[in-house]
Amino acid sequence: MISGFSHCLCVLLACLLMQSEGLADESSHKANKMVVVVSRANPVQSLSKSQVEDIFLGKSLAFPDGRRAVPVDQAEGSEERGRFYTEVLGRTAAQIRTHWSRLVFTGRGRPPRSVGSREELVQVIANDPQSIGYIERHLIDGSLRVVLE
Amino acid sequence: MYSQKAAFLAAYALVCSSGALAQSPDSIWSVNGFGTFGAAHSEEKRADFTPDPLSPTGPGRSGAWDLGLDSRAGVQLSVEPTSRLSAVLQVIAEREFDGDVEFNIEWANLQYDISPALRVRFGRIALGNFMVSDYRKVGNALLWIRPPAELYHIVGITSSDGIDLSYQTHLGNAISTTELSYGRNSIDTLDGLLKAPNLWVISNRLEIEDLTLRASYSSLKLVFDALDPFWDAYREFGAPGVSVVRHYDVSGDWSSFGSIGMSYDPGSWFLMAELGIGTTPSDFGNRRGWYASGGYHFGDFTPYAIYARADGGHSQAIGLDASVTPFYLRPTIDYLNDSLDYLQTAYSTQQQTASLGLRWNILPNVSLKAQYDRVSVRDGSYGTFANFEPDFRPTRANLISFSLDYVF
Repeated sequence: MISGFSHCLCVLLACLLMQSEGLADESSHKANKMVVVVSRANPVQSLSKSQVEDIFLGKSLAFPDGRRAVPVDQAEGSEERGRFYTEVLGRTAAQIRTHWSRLVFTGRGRPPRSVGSREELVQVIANDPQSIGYIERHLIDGSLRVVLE
Repeated sequence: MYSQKAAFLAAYALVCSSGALAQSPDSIWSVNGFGTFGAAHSEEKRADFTPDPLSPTGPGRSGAWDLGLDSRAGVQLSVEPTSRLSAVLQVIAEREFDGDVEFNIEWANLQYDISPALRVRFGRIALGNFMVSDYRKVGNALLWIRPPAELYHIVGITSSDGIDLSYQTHLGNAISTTELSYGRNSIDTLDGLLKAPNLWVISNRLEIEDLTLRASYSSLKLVFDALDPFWDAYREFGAPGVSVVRHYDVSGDWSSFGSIGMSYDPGSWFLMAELGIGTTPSDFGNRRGWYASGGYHFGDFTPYAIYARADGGHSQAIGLDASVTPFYLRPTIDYLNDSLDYLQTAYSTQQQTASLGLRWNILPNVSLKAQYDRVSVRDGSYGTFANFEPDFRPTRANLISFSLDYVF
């Protein structure tokens, strides 16, 4: 009987633990979520996923209002870069590389320039109203505007 | 020549080893390269499989395994002195029409962005006749081993020296890019054989999220002198001979090619299809080619299938009527008419290929591919085969190809 009770308690406890872990996951997930940002000085307020894709895949050289758009990548091999392309654009690193081969070797485009660190990314985006980048939500300061969550 | 090849190999090795250094983000210079190590096998010992009209040989009669058909190496130097001005030089080493491995300038042009929407290029560019024609030599950019021969063999000319305008507009969430090129062809190794002194290409690409639709139309003035003695022989027979020449000689006249294509690639799978029709101002007729291809991306593995078909032309040419000429001239007329029939048959490709393949992305910039092609030739055509044994007509061949492709 007692062993049955303690067993039930254990299961209940385990369930609670798992749930709180789930909650913690969700809130940290929200803070770690990859968002697309521009400078506060950029008049663009929001972009759709396909507009972001067009700019980062070199299909479009401009924001929807016609002003030049300059995408900036995080460092090659960085976790942020991998997550942006898989989570936001739904493509693997090899698919992205294949895509750029098609543009680079036909003179149709060059991959985005990449920065060395997250701090540098914030600085580059904040100082250049033409630029657009991606970063984890919790790293955003007042100099940046989120255009796609 | 050998010293030039050695110099190219040395420069290529240097670029491969220092390529990463040149990619500094602030540099106005960038160096990129690509290459393919390919091996293609055909069990057919009586003819070579030649997917490209300018391939001198292929796997088959010349050797069951061919390492030269798909293998090539390229290097590209780009410079972007300002955000609007850029220049690109791309050199490729590959097997040429004459059978030698040579290096050629594939791209050499100066680009100026008049605005983000309007771009102009001067110099050598690859022609945009087909959906993948401008990057068909970059193996890693292709999901297959090579573009389907049934469609891509229709236009042999791949580049143009001239001017090219590109205009991009946004229509809702769609991006429309219109390109207009004017120039002349530049196949150096074909000097004296085939020239296109004037050519126009207009194309439009419409990208709607993961869907791409494309249409192109080209008009080419083709000149080839190699057949002149043949036509002169017909002219010797007076008005009826001149009439045959008028119906079949296309040298100096305008030929055209039109194509439509689509591709859909949401990231986890892809579907592609393309149709093209080539016409010449002659009684040889029109040539059509099309393919449909699809595949699924399982992580780094992409199994794919292709079905391609070529039709068109006529089964027989109409030469001189030998019965109305003196008997002693009949052997000559029969010989000329047989030769004209050979040209008609060589022109009228009747073939279909079903292919299965697998691409494996070993690294983001290195892929390995394997492809099986079952090629069937119909109606006594030569298909995309060449170098036959006498009196042999190909009917069916199985091809197995492997390639290792890289970019840097």
